[in-house]
Amino acid sequence: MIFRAVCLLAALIGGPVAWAQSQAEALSMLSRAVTASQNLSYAGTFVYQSGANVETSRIAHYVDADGNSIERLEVLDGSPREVVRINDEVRCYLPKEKIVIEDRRGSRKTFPSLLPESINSLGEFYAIKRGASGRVAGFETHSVLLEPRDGFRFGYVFWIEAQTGLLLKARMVNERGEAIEQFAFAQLEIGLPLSREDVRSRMAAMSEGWAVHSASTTTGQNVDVGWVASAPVPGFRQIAGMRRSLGPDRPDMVHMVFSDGLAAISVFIEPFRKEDGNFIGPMKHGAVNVFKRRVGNFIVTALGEVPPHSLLRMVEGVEPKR
Amino acid sequence: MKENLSALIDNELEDRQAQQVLDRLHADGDLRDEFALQVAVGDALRGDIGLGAAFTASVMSRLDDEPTVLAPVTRRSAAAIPRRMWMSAAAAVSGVALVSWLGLDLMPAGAPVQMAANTPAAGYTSQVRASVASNDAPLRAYLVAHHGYSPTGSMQGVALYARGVSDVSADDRR
Repeated sequence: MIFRAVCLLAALIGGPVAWAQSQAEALSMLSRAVTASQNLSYAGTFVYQSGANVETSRIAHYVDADGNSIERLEVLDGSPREVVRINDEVRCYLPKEKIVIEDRRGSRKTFPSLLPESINSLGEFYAIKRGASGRVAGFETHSVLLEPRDGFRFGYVFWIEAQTGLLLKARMVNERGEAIEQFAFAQLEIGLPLSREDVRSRMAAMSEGWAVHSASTTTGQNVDVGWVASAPVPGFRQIAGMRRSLGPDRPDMVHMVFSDGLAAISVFIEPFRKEDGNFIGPMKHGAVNVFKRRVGNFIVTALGEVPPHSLLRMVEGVEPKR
Repeated sequence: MKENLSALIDNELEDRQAQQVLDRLHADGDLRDEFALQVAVGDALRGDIGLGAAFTASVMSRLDDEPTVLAPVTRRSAAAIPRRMWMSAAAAVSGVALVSWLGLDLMPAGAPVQMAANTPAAGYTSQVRASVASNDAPLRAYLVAHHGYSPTGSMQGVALYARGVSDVSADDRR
């Protein structure tokens, strides 16, 4: 009897304590993954999978003596494509289409480091715990599970290298636990003595004359853009609002970003232009869903790695500020 | 509730009423599908979706070839006829029409759309594909801009951009 009472007591007290410990551990592993991805040099091959689409890419990350973070990704399957990031400047080269896509954000020094700030509120929207340990690309890893607490977001599993904290595998899952997309290293070397040459763009030289699609910001990242989302998706708060320019021949557009700490929804608002075509409704690009809607004389596009109805809700509430 | 949906779509509701409908919408998966359908049907009827003659012809020829029409709709309403036509057409085209936007093979929500809990997967979103004008808004630039703010990017770095540049149609083309 006493034994049973003690067991019960232990279960009552121990359960929540163990759970809290597991969450705290999981959160600190995520924080570590953020730091590791920014500070470590590494090179390897990873596989990106989304639906039936599988692509292998080579990736290298180099941190120079001045602390500049330079990264290069080269897609090895299908048409050759390259992405190069120097601090917060990203350039995507698409030789088949002869297009360069640029993203320059000016004021922000480090590559997205949103996670550490929002990491503590993650628990409100996800049940976070440690998962099983296992091997990825030959390294021992610990896994972290984030199960969504409602239907407005997907779940995640992250596999984090035991020694360095580097993220080696990331999977986004639906409510049945089925993978929607996955990034996983197949081969990797961490802490290599890389040089600038290893992350130099191979396509920049041939890209002269290609069309440049850029969406450079023309304002700070938190300005009043004159629009609001009146019925935001639960858990998603606005983390940025800015104007961007898509080119000299187009009017500036508005870009608002909402996040629950892990998933993000972007809302783009552009004056309606006949020549842009007039597709309205849901689309998807791999694991990223898109929803376009016309609001008065504007086209509102919401996109993000969230279920389609979350975007629908976001788009429905977007209106000019009164 | 369906009348309210139409009113919502036509912007005829007071703010408070609209909010009520939206709240209902997010609690009710069936209603959500109905809503998405009505939006698509409305857009299609108004001609907001740029479906050219070639597209229509291809839909019609596919329809002729299509022995079974997938139209997972259980309820019928006044809008049933255009809706069924739309869905049949969409079902027939699904898996056939490929969309190319500046090399970005962007498709309206494709077959196994992963919805959240209690959302029935059967909706027009699971079927519709349509052609997007080749000079549609620069969605690829949108994607790249979006990824700059995606918190998971702080762990995944540039790997996340594999999404933006992924050649989604590669498997279909091979």
